[in-house]
Amino acid sequence: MLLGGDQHLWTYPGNWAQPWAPKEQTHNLRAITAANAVAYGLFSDGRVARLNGSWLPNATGSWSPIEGSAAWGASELGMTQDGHLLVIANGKLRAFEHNTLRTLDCDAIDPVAVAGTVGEGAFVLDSAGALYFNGDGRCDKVPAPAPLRRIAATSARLLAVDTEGLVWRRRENVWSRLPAPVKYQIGQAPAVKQAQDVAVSPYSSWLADTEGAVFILSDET
Amino acid sequence: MSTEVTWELALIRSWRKLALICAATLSVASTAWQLTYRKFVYDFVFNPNWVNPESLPARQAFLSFVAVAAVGAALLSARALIQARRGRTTWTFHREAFFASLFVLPVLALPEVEFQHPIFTALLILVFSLAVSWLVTRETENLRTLPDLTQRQAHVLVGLGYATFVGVIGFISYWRFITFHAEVCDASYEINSVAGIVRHGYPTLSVAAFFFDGKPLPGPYFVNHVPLSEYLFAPFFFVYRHGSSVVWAQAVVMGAGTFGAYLIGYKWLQSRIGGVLAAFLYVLTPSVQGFCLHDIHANIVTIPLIMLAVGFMEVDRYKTAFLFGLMTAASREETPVYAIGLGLYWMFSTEDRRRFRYGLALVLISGALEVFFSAYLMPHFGGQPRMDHFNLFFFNARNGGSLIAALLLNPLGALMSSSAEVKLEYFAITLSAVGGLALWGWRAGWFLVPMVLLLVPAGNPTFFSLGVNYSAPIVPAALMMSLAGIRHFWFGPTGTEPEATNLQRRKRIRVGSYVLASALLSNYLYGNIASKTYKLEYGQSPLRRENQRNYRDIIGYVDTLPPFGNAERLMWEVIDKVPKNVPVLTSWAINPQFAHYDVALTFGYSGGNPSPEERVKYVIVDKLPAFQTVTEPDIARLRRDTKRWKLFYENASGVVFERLPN
Repeated sequence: MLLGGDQHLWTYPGNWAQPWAPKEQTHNLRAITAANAVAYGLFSDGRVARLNGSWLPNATGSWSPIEGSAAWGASELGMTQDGHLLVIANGKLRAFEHNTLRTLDCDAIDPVAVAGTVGEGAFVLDSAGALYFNGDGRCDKVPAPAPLRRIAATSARLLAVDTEGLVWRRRENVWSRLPAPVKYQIGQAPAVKQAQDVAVSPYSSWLADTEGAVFILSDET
Repeated sequence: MSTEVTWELALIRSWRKLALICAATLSVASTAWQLTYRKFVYDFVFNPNWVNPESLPARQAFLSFVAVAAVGAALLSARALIQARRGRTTWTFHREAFFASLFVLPVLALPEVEFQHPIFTALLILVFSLAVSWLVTRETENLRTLPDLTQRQAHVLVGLGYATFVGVIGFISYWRFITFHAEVCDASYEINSVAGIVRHGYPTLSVAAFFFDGKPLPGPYFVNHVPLSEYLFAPFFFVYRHGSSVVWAQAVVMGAGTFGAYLIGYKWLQSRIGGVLAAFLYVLTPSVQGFCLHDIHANIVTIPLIMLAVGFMEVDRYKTAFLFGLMTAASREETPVYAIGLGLYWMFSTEDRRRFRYGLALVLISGALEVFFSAYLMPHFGGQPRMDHFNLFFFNARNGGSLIAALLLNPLGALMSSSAEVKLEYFAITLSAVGGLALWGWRAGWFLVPMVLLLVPAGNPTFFSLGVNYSAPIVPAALMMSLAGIRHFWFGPTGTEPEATNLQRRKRIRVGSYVLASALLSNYLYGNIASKTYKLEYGQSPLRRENQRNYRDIIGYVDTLPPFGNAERLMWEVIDKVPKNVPVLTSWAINPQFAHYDVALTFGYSGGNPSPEERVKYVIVDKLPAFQTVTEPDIARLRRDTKRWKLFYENASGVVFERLPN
């Protein structure tokens, strides 16, 4: 799923020769997060809602807002691979369980971004771009090659965009810099672009550049 | 006593020289400026009505380049004027003309210009080639004779040309295959077919299982095509049972037209130099190169076969030539049309009765073959020729009679249809490869028969895209008519007088340098041998592994060859783990690599009844970037379906599932 610059939702893959298909919806979204079997959205009015039905383009679906979520002050959402919703609520990392928000180990941090792994595992970024890992009953600072801006994670790898727009991958505790997105335009030499955001799916990594174009990373393996 | 003339007279005598000096220096200044400010050149030339504010400093800088050029022009002009004042009345202009033409080169080097503006590009190619020709002709005036090559020299050069074609084009085709840029349509189809020839004696097909509902796989390919020319590829596959052997085989066979071109050039141009020139032109022909990169196809083989047929006929090897003519006819269901053009050429291009008879026999046999293929063989297996490719008909009925009636009874309509922009672009690209000399080669106009019957009635843009197999019908005509056009300009007045010999030499150097310049420039722009780009992907999106440069969403071309990295290496490890020649179902991107298996189906395409998953023993799914089709849901689904499938092998690039016994 992709949240467009117009706050509308797109799904991939669409029909043949039309990779992205618009998903009908009734609410403007500020953020989305999804695992294999579940997806949540953050409405522009601050409510958090669960997507009913499939996220596939031809599937019908509707949003079920979580009661009381308008009061959370949610600014970011994240999910673990096993479907736990993580919320940055009033500037703190929380897990949504049994219809309530639960405090996690990184409570001392004021996170601006979250990316879940499994269980309670979650990477969080503070406003200075420092990276922390919430899990195993601790909140550990994770060394990063540069201050980071956006992150996405699975249990096996973490992808990050730093404040310079460079893309990094952390796998087995080793950071690697990934190639920047390159655009080819008529009459012009290939132009390297800055990354704006990252996302991961089981075997692919996705980038959005600062001009809103989406790329699939080709060197993942 | 002074011999000086007046300044007025000096100016009258030298103005052409002065004008060309100014043009040449301005051209050099423009070239230098374009190379310095490449970023702004495209809009400067192709959007001249828009002054990009960012380009203003560059435009200011252009004036500095012009100022320097003006100083150079003033000095050179002053020299010419002084010469004129001292009585000189004649000058050479070729160097100035050559330098004046240089400024087109940086423009042509800009990314995508050649495909965005093919007709404009063709004009630039012709202008630059004319300038080169003029320069070379004048600079070699002191060359008293143009000695012909020895047979050995000629054979070595032709052999080198052939080796270059097979080496470079074969390698790129192979690279395309091993980096998973080959496509189901039609690498899988044709590798299926060749493997069927070796295993069963006839072409078979499995990837298009939808043709064979309820029937065993693989089925006979004749339901869709009659790809008999693929028997030529079978020995390669017999030796090495791998899809890549077919890819190489195609390059080997396509390159063989080099030898036919040599024989044609040798006889038509009456010299071995002429033969080598023709051979090089064949090697450099962009469409011939491109056909080898658009997967594998049976119809394109007609091009080298026609070259060999004509070549052997020219050296009076009638039976060999006729055999190649028959092979042309039998290549695929539509290729008898190509052979009819060849037969008509043999019948009517000379007053040779023996050649006439061979031509007549070829026309009759080809006609019979066309009827046999389309009215008996294909219908017998449940298929028919694909008339849905065409849209020019006389009646509402989509059949051959309606199509021919439209061509014969509505020629202006056919002409109108041929003037669509995409068609004109394709004609320009094709003709500029040999400097447009095909327009002087009407003697070989019989080879237009396949183009008239197979291209003019077609409306789909893929029929007019360089390298796409459907665009092949124009290529034999372009090659043969170009060689006939060269012949038109190759000979001067006969005789042994020094003047006649000198004129002959000059004509050959002129036309030879002209066609070589245009062929080299066309190859650089549109070809693949040491070219500007590689035309690697064909078909409309999302049939792409790369997303760099596009022509009409049909040809995807790239600045550099894609890497063979860890992802590809691991994918080949997965492929190698799969037992040999068991029925498999694969994801789209890796199906060609299994297409030499008897049964190799692909997700989301093969269809048919029973469903693909019911027909196979193993499923192989890639984890390569999901640009074309998404594979992650298939992997997740099979992983969950533990009653039917078990994990057989997995790494970071792919996964193999083995079907459990029921």
